[in-house]
Amino acid sequence: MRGPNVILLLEMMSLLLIAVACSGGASQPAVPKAKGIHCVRDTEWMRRNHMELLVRERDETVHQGIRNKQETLPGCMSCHVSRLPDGHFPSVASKKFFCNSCHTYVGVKIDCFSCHTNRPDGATPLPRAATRVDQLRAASLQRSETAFKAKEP
Amino acid sequence: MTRRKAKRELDAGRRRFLGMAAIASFALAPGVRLIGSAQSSSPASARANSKVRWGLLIDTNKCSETCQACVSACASYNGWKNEGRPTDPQWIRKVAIRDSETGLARTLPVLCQHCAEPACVEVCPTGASFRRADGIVLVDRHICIGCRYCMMACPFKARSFVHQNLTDQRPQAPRGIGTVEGCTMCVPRIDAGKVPACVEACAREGRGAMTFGDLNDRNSAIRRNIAAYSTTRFRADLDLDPSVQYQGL
Repeated sequence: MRGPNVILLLEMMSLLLIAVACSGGASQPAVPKAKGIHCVRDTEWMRRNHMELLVRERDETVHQGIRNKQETLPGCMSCHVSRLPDGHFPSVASKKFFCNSCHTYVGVKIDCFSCHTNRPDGATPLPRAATRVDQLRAASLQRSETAFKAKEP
Repeated sequence: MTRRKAKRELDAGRRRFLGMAAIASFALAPGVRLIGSAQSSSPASARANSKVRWGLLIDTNKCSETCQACVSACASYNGWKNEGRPTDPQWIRKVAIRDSETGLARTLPVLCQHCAEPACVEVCPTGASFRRADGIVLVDRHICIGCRYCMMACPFKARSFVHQNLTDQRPQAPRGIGTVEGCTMCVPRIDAGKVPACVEACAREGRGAMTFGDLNDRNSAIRRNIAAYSTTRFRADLDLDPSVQYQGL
């Protein structure tokens, strides 16, 4: 009978923890805006599964030489890392660095950037070229944003 | 009695939870399949071909004593710097040799010889040192633990160890503290159909002493040169079968 009780206790504790987290116990991550219009996958998918892509790229590229030009770590950097207002790129340790904005929040330590560059490379293009539909979508987004700002006092 | 009832309730709760988990996993299934479809439709370049064996032929008759074009091209492409300290990286270095009897003197670049039977791969305890299907010997620095066995095993002193924290690495050449590194034959360039940076620099700034090509292709320039001229492999006695060969020694 002891087992289920312990599990119940653990479940209650985890629920309590979630409740604390949701009630603003920790500040929500402020994710820096990306430069491109489209990510290589849906945002929802990327939030949960980006590591799958990275690991696949890691093993297949290094060992088998398979290079998917659309999905590279420098490609991620070229889109997701921008200069701060002071003209510098955010350091790897900084919360303003794209990956850290969430990883600090969830307490996951990553060690990609002791080897890989954490800056956009001028030569690496944004992962996907904007299509006509993307341009129209961006224009409409811009319009709604300006309209929203105009309404604000 | 109450205990049994509590257990039943708990079991029901668990079953509900498992049921929800099952539904959740079904809901995730399309996302999981997304990887598969992306894999098949993505414009991924071909994988390293085992029919190819990349090699390098260096004509020491053409290699100039003062020229450092290959070394500086490698350093700038791969983002390493040698300032003369004993622990500084040297993916490629110029070596001067002289036969004391005949007085014949030559300078030549020494780099990873990309052996067919590499000693570094043999001794690596983690499998980080490996030979790619097309004959390029590499270090997977995701697996490397920095034990440096490979550095001791290599008879050519071709590998270096990164001692310091690094910043501003080149996007195409990640390198970092605690791992062993060496000539990669510029794999990103080869995968993109280009020649290594050293070969390009030697042709542009030097006297074109380096020939890069497929050792398995009978019609390639490197294969024709090897058939036409006498070439030397370093430490042939060790039977490592290097892919880098030297002409005019």
